[in-house]
Amino acid sequence: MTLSGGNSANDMSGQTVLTAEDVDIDVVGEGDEGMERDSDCDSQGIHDRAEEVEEIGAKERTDSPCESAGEGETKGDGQESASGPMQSKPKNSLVKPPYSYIALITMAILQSPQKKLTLSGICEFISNRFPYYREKFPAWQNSIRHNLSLNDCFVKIPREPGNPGKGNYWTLDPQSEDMFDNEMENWSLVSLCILLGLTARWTVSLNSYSGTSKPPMFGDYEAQRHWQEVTYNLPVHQWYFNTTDNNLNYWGLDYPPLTAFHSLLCAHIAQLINPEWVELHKSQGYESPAHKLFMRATVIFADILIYIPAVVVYCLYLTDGSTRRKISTLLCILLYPGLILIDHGHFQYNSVSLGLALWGVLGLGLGWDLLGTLAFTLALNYKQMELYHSLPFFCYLLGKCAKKGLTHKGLILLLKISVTVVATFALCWLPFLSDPQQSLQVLRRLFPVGRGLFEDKVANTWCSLNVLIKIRAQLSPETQLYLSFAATLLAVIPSSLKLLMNPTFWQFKLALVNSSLAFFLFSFQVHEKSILLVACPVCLLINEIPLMAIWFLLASTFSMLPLLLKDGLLLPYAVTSLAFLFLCLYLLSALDRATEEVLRVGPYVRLYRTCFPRINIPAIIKWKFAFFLLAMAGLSFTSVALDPPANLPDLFPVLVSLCAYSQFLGCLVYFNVVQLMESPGADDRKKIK
Amino acid sequence: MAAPMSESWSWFLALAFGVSLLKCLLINTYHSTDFEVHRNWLAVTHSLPISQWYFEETSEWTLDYPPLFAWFEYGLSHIAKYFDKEMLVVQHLNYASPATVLFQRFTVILADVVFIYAVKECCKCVKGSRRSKDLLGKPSFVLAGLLLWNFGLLIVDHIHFQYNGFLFGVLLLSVARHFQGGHLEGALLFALLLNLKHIFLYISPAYGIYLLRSYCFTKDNPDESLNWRSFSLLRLATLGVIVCSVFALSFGPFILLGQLPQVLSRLFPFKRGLCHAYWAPNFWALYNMADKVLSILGVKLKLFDVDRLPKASMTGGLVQEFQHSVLPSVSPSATLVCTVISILPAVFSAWFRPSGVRGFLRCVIICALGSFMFGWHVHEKAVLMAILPLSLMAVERKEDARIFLILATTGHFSLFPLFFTAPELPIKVLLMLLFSLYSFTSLKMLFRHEGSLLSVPEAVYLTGLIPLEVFCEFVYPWTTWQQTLPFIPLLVTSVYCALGVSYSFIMLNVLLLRTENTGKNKSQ
Repeated sequence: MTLSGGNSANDMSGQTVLTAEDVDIDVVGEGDEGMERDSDCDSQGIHDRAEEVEEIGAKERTDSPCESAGEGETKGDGQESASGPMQSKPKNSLVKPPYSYIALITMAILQSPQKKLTLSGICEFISNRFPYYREKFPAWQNSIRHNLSLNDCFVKIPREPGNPGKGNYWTLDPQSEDMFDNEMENWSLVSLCILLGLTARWTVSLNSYSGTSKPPMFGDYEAQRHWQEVTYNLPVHQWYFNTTDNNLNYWGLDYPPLTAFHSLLCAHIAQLINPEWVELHKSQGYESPAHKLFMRATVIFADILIYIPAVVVYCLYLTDGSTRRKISTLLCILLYPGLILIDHGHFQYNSVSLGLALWGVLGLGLGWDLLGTLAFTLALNYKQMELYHSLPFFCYLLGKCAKKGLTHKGLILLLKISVTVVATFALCWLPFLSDPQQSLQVLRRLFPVGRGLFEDKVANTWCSLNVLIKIRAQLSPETQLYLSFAATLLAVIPSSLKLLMNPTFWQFKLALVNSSLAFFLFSFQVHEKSILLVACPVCLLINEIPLMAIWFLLASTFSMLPLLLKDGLLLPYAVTSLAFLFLCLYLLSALDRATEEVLRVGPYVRLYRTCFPRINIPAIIKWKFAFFLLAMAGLSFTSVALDPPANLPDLFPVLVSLCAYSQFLGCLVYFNVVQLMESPGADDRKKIK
Repeated sequence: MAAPMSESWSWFLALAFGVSLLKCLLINTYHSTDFEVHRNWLAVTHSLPISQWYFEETSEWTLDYPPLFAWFEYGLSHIAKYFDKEMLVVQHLNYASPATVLFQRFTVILADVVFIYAVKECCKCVKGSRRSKDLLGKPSFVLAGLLLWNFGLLIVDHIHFQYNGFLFGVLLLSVARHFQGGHLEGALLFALLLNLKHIFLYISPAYGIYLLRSYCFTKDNPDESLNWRSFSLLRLATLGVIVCSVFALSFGPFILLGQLPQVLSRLFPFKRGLCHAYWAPNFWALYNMADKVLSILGVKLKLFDVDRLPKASMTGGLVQEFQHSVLPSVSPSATLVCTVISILPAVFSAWFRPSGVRGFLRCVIICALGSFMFGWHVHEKAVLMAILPLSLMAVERKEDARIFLILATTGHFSLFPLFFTAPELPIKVLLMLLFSLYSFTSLKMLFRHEGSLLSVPEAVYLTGLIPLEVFCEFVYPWTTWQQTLPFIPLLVTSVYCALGVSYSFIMLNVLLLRTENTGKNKSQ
């Protein structure tokens, strides 16, 4: 699967475009390492291997390697082409791929599940993958046969007696296969990425946290510490109630039970190290370097335990492309600045809830529906904001059951899933189930309807609208609630319906983005940090739609700028954002890959072509990207460097949230179009088997 | 040649930019007294006339670098005044406002541009011995990774605080110029370097011999022996003029002021002890350990009286004067003799069997490591002087790669005690793992067709560092000995690492002699 992963319709045409560049290089006759890296990441591994094979086949290993790097290749190509009938220049848009026949054969064999193929299998692979060869079939079939029998690196396996059919299987000589293996061992690259991610996290965590030495309320850091204090000292039935020992106005527990249990666990460890940290009442506002170290360690520990493994598994097993590309994706996701800054700078445990949700996605992606359901239910019980993701999970599973037939297999699956959900919920809520009052109180704490449509400056619709119309003053609280409910529902329905009808993993990922983004933009009582719930699924798209994903992820980090500035995290914000932007553009070659196919802007193109026949949508997107990058950088700079005018003290936060909002709104439209316009069956490979 | 280099730029820039950003993230970490040292120098050079620079002693951290570095600080101080003028007042001891920290940290990061440029020049010099289409398999890529992401430089410069990156940049640039045939430029850079930090005097024998032998003598006899007639007086004179003018520029003002003795006494403080605060993992660490063991054994076996033994003052970790109880005490001149003897083989080989610029580089490394092994008052950080140039050779030959792995791992590990604060513990462990993992896998991949890099005992020895670290940082603090014998982790670390460093030193010399022999065989 590793090598064949990339050969969808989209990537294929992507390659034909890239091919042109490679051919150019060959003509010039220079080494082409750099270009390859930049432009051809999908087939990097293949290319490397292929060329090694070619060298073996052509027996051109020379002692002065540097010179022959480019030369050998052209020579090889020349020879091969001479034996085939394709000397003539390509007349149409299809360009000859820069691979020799030996390279093509190796590619074909390596992608096959059993690492062996028949001659017809090889030809089929090549013509499927390269339109150029499809058109010229079967003229080159003889050349393939010729190459197979001439080169020692291909070995013929006789057919097994009980397996009738035509033609022999061909495979690669194990001895020469060793020579293709010139990649650094993958596990060590993966470990390097993880270590880099951890280093970034820990260095950010050395900075100040939210509410450092700011009595009387402090910040989220104190909230988490206070929860430890409460859960450790009070009996379970008092956790969510306002009592003399538990002042709910001072960072009262307002997350679901799993968070409370997590706090309890941390409190037990804290108590072992230093009982002062969790002493009832007396520990309020406790701050010390040792305590900070402990709290930071709990976050990074949760990260290592839950979030990072989920990202690793996702990148290695659920993304397409070469191993190198998977690892690049891994590094980019691990270095997403928003999550690092909020968890390890500001201080929260988002990596737990997002990590659990990610395990849920992984479960569904790998076909272990029950496990995925379990993980997601846990996530839901850790943080109620995970509801943003619940609709896609529901629709995907329901759609899948429906596809299997709601009367037979589907029904059984549906039952199993429901039992899992109910059982997990029951388990998490066990201490609160004895008394209905308890459960109701927990629910009231989880959904504080009374807190208003929005707080602070958040880059969503209501806050942005508030600049023009003072909604909160003009509408009754109840109307606000209904309005936001209706708006959210309206925004979520299309993508959910589409997912229900067409429950593929690709659709599921897009629906996760669309649903959470819709919730963020339109729902009630949204915090600026909730953008992380959108960012997490967008991270999963970074391999498929790099440019848009990077753009969104940067904008999401930017939208939290006022908060980060309040926490004194300017330097880590600037550094991690820069690192992320630069690394992603470089490793994923996002700008080079910004073609119509990769960006999936076919619908726009068709729409606009009627009026403007020569419009170049990818170029427009790149310009917009550059413009908003500049805008974000400029706004970041001005909010730090300049004082706002006296009559407009909130000028910069408002500008920041408006700027972020406009980008989010654009992304909502874009991702919805991508999801809804996807013709069924176009991405067969992404369907769950 | 130009085209491939221009292509390779992107990955090199990626590596360099990435590590620079990492350095920026380290700004808020703990900084050692060296931070105050350099702040004080900023203040001294900024607010006092030149005549006072080497006399000023308000702070205990007096100026003890050569004049060129003082000028460097003087230049920086003119930018510093835009950040925070208060840091430029001599009387403000231990002044570290956020602006001061930011400024000082950024100067280190920016000065590293010299290092980055030098690494790029070095990468051009490396022989691409194998053709590899894979970027990660190119020797130049591996070298760039090893140098730019060097663990020791990262933590010593950007956590502990010093300007080593800048200084080693000048050194590597000088080496690279020699590789490229620009001997005069190389000599000029080295003369500048000597006037920036005089610790590099230790490797000046290698430079002197190499320039004299391979530059001033224009050709050899057919049997590779010295051809006296080919001596070029012009070349020697040019070299002399370059070196002398640099020294005159740097020390001239002080000679005119008649302050040379004072400057020199500041530069070479022989009053300090044999071992620096924490023991550097060198020969003397083993020597002290042997002395300690012998004295304990002696007391146990009743060979000599406890009361007659001098009280060994090695307990506190802060060792100024060290009195040996059984073995003879070591004087500065003895260490000097030992150092000279230790580098003799390399110097002789450089004179009698010159093997081009690579032989020169080998000689530089042996001089650096020899002085580290036997020098007076050596600091752990000085091991970088051997590790960094050795990186260049490690990517070209398997044997060197093997020594590099041992030396770099033990040398870097011996830096751990410098960073004793709890928040920095994860950083040093993570960065060390990052660098070690990278160096092991990338070098293994470079030489994967030539068998395994390390022998089993070596691998076992290096793996032993992991339990050692666990013991020192996690187990020992919880034991009761922590109160009575707090120096044990330092001692164990330094002795254990000293074994590896000594082994690398011996192996380097063995390799030198062996190459010499093969050279002879060839000539016969």
